[in-house]
Amino acid sequence: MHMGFALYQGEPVAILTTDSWGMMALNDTTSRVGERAVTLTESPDIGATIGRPGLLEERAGAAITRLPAMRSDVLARYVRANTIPAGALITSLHMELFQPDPLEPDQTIDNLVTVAKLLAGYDVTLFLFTVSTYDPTQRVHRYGGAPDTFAMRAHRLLANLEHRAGDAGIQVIDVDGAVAEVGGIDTVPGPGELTGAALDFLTEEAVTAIDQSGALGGTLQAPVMRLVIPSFDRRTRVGTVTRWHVSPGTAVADGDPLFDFRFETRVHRFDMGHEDENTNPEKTGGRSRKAERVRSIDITVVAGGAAYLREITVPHGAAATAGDVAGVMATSPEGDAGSELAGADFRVGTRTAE
Amino acid sequence: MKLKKRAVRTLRRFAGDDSAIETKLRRMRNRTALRTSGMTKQTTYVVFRGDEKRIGVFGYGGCDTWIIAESGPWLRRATSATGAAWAAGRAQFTRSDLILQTVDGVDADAVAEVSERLQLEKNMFQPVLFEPGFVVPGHEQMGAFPKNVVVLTMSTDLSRTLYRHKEHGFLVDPGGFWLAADIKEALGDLDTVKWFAKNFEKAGRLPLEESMANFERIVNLVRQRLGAEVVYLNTLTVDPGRQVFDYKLSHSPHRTRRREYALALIELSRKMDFSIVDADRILKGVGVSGLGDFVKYMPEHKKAIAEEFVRVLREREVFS
Repeated sequence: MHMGFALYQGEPVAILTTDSWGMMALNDTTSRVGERAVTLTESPDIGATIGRPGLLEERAGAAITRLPAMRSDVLARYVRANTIPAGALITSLHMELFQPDPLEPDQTIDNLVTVAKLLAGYDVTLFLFTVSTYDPTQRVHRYGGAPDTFAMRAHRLLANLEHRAGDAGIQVIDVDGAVAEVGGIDTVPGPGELTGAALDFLTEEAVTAIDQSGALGGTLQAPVMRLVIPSFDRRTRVGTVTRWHVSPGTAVADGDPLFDFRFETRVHRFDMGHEDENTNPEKTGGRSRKAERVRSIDITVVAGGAAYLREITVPHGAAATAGDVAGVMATSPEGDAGSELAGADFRVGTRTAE
Repeated sequence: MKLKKRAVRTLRRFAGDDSAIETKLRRMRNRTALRTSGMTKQTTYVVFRGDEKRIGVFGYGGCDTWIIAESGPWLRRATSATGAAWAAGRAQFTRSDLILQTVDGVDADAVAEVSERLQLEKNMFQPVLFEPGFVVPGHEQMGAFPKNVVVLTMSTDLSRTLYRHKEHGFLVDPGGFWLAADIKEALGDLDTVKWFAKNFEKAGRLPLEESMANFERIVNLVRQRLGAEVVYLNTLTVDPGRQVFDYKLSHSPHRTRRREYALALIELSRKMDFSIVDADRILKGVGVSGLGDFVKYMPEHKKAIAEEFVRVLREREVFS
């Protein structure tokens, strides 16, 4: 067995690079068979999200086994050679793209399917972080004679995975989709690197995936959560809470309305998209000659899961900005509240207000 | 703006939608704008005045090609020419096999009857893409523009389902008629529905290999007949807003198909040396939260893709 290091955002990350696998489990605690436990490989994406120090320890109530980052072929050997405690094993496609001598996409997915089948024998569900295909460093439009880009290699892996993950029972944390939702310009400094909103988004994606699968027999949801006002788009952020549908102490289910919010945004005529427009940026220095106007957008924020509203921090009629904490949610109706106690953001959805 | 909308509503109440007087008024407004600001833009086209040189960008595909209308400000900065960019296609007549059918020819009499009965767009059977120039509707006074650049997309091959005439073998896409209409309208015209079922069979979606073979033929034909630069748009490869972890319960073959098309288009680009505007990358960079569809872009998306489109044209030295 050999340990190696790879650089990730300038920091060395421990990886396993050999296929001559012994029977030793790395950093493993005692045998956890019979308990629900989480085993994870600490690739940079997992280490910065669901594997953040303390997060699983606080929420899971289960044993945590942390393994170094490893490629799918090494993971397959590890799983063959070791007993994995029942529960969840979380790994990533990250190393497939960033280790030298990458495997072919179908080899990688073959390995992961093998791992998933072996794990099923231990009553372990395999959770797989995928990769974002967004690469801010490459703007290729002409491919003749050019080597494969990072995005192409990532797309090939994902296409293979999408064909086989369902039958293999692999639970997929869709990093490509998550980054697309929040926008890679602000969250992807380099290929495979994630910051800010994308990491928070993925952490909760992983929590939701594990909770929905029932792999741990309980919930990873934080006991106290911030109810954050979502943004409508990049320019539409300021507004007012126009109505609360629930009061503190009330239980809400997935999809229940929580509060209405009216965004107000200043819109230049040039920015109005489908409207007919006639502009000449050269004459106006890039600005529209038309006057701006205020546009109101009403949304209803709905619960993304079951919880209790503990506290309202932005009352009806108060002005607020997307990202502000409008209230505190919790998994039980009683106990200490306060957004300072909140361990995560409560998942919400939005729909156009009726 | 409110006054303008109220005036339009009032006019439509008396004259109906798309009346001759509304068309006339729109044309007057567009001409005035062109005269005063040098550029006029609508959802599917942009026209701008410059020197005597003329440059034309012709889009032929689904609504994702409408981004070329957004490229006006950047096109004007890139060239001193008088120019037009028009997305002339519609999704229901730009699937690659329908485009090639216009070149290979169809039985004119049979097509005429079907066109009338299904109210099909006449462009479905006309080789519009391969005509040498184009005139922007409402700007006939500007004359015809050359097709210096042809913008194509893979979105229609990904999404449209066609039907084949059982006897004559030609393809139609009746979408936009009763297939996309209110169910009451469809039921009100059951004779046509029965006639359609009797005369047509489902041709289904195109396999990837067939699409790529069609794209190759189309690119060759465009180059041979028009000498134009060909640019393809790819599409978003994720499903906006979709949160699925267990693919067994909710697999998305459409998303995977889009990904495989994007990869295959790159391989074709390598072979044929056309450029791809990577809409997938741009959309993922800007963020797709709130996007309702993989090709129905919001204004910020259109602008970002349009800017990239003009960058591609610059690097292709289209304006030199």
